[in-house]
Amino acid sequence: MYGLVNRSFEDMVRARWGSAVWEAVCARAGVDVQVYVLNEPYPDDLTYALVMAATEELAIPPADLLREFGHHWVLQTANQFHGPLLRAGGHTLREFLHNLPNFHTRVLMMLPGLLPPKFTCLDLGERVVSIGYRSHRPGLAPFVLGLLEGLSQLFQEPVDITHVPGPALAANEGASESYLVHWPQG
Amino acid sequence: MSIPQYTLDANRFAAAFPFHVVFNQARTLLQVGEVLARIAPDVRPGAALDQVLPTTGSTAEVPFDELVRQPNLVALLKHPPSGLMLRGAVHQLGSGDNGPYVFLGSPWVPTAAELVRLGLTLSDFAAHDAASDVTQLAQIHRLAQDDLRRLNQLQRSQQEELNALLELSPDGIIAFNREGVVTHANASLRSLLGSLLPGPIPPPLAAFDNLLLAAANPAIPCVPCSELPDGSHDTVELLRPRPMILQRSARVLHGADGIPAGRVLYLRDVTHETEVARMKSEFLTTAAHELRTPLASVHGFTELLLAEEFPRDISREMLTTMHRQSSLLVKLVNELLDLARIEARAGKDLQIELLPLVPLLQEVVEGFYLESAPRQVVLDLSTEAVWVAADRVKLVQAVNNVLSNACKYSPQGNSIHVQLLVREGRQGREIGVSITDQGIGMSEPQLARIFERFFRADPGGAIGGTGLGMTLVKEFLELMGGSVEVTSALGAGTTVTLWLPAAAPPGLAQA
Repeated sequence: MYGLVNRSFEDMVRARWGSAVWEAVCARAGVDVQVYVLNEPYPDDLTYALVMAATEELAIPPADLLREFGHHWVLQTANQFHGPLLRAGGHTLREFLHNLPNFHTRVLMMLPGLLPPKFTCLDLGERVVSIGYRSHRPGLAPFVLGLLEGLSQLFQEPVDITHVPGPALAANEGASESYLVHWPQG
Repeated sequence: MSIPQYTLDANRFAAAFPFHVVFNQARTLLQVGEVLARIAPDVRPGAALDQVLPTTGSTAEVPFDELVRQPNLVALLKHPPSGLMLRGAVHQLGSGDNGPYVFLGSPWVPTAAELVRLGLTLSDFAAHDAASDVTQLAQIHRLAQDDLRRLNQLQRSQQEELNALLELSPDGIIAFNREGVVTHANASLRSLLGSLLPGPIPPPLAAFDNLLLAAANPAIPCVPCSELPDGSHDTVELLRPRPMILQRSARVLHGADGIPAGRVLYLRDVTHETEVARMKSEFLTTAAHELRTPLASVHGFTELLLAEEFPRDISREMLTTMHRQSSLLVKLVNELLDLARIEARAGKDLQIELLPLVPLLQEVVEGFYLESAPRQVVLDLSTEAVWVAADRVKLVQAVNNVLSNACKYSPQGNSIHVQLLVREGRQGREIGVSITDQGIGMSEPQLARIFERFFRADPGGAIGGTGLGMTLVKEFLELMGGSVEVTSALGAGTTVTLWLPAAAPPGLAQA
């Protein structure tokens, strides 16, 4: 993963639980990196080790921590480092979700070596969109749920999100996870 | 062979080029791309191109006809109300010379913030247009610059931390790069090696080695610093700039390529530690020897008494010897404990009080009794009241030790003189208790060792003693702020003077 991910995770732990906890997490994970270069790729194992060490150190289930990280990624990290680009992703949440596949294609061109996840976006009517997600990295479904919840907050559009393991629809074929995003009436 | 001509219908053309404008020879707009029309409403059919989208920058210097004739020239158009800049080229449509013309281009947005300000999203750009990717790349470039700044900052603070650590170290540290050039040498290195180093900057590794090897004791083989293995430690005995046992520790630095990139040496003066270790070892050996002699005697006589019946007078003689030897053992152990206590407490347990010296000495001499060598002690004390601030028990013990030596080392019948002296010392008035015997005296080499533990002027051992008495005297006097002076000549006797700072009598002290 790119350094930005590890840096973001570090920022979240430091901000929420303090620097001493972060040092303990690094020690537990056996990671000795002082500065993550944002556009430099790091082994996935390093990121997983940090996440697992944090769940043990904080006694928080991995799914909860990853979901929290999803919120942090959108509302803090992406906003801080790519804020205008994030807003250029669309005027509305729906527009942004439709741009997600393009967004990752563009990022892939700029950051060689990046193995981004694949997203599909399918309108299921005026109020429902189905997001398909597939990644070669296992166990990150709660992170995606957190991302979608974070985007809902960023665009100030309250939505209900239902996580459906596996492809929900034909258009989501190949997706390992699906998320139904529903704008409530009113 | 004719080249087939392909055309895009108006809708597809508009989707492919959302920022295009079509204009005629009079440069009146005929058609405007959908996104451009949205963000710049005054750019609409019928408007004058030169008014709503004038050329700008270097393009403004180029005649418009030139832009039309050379479609490979970059054309920059600006929309003044929004500040939008369009980058592209002008092409002629159709085959005639009179146009119409089309400008194909896209916004030049160097920052994502500018994208947002203009009200553009990524989906406003045609998929084939990399303009928005330039914006993202620019953002990535900025982040990389931030990273570089952060890394530089971190490196600087770590370097400062490291320098502080190196400079605070009391030991010498020197680093050489791959070529053997000095990259760092701390101040302690200069204190350690002093005049051995020729200039303000230590020389390269090879020359440094030569200096060190030249200063080392030639009788002891010494490996050059440049050949010390990584992580190794050794000691070198230096004769210059001062006699010193130098401990060397070496670390070989490795570059990213794994090739040795330099060498760090850590140099420490361990002369004192080495000497202390040697003295400890010597002390243990001597102490064990001193304890073994009386113990062997006690043990031997005990075995004899247990094994056989002896006549009463012989048994008594044996028991007397055992008692004498065990008394010596008790004294030896007590004195060793006294010395250990002095070292551990460094005088913190002294009970200092104002003492009148004349009556104290009279009391000591009256109470002094040495069964083996009874002696006349002549007191020559002034009537002047002299006071000292001292620990009574320690002072009495010191005087007793000196008196005891005076008796043991002088033939029977010779008297011992105890005298009070006064002198002006560096710290003020001092009182001396001088004890003179007319005994066997000491040679100069013996005198030089008088305060050494277990040293005895009688190497044959005919005169009893532990060899710790004078060591204790010196320690006691120094703890009380005084000193001991000894003069002696072989066959002429010895004078030991215990000097203490004079104290004001109690009444005067309070005044």
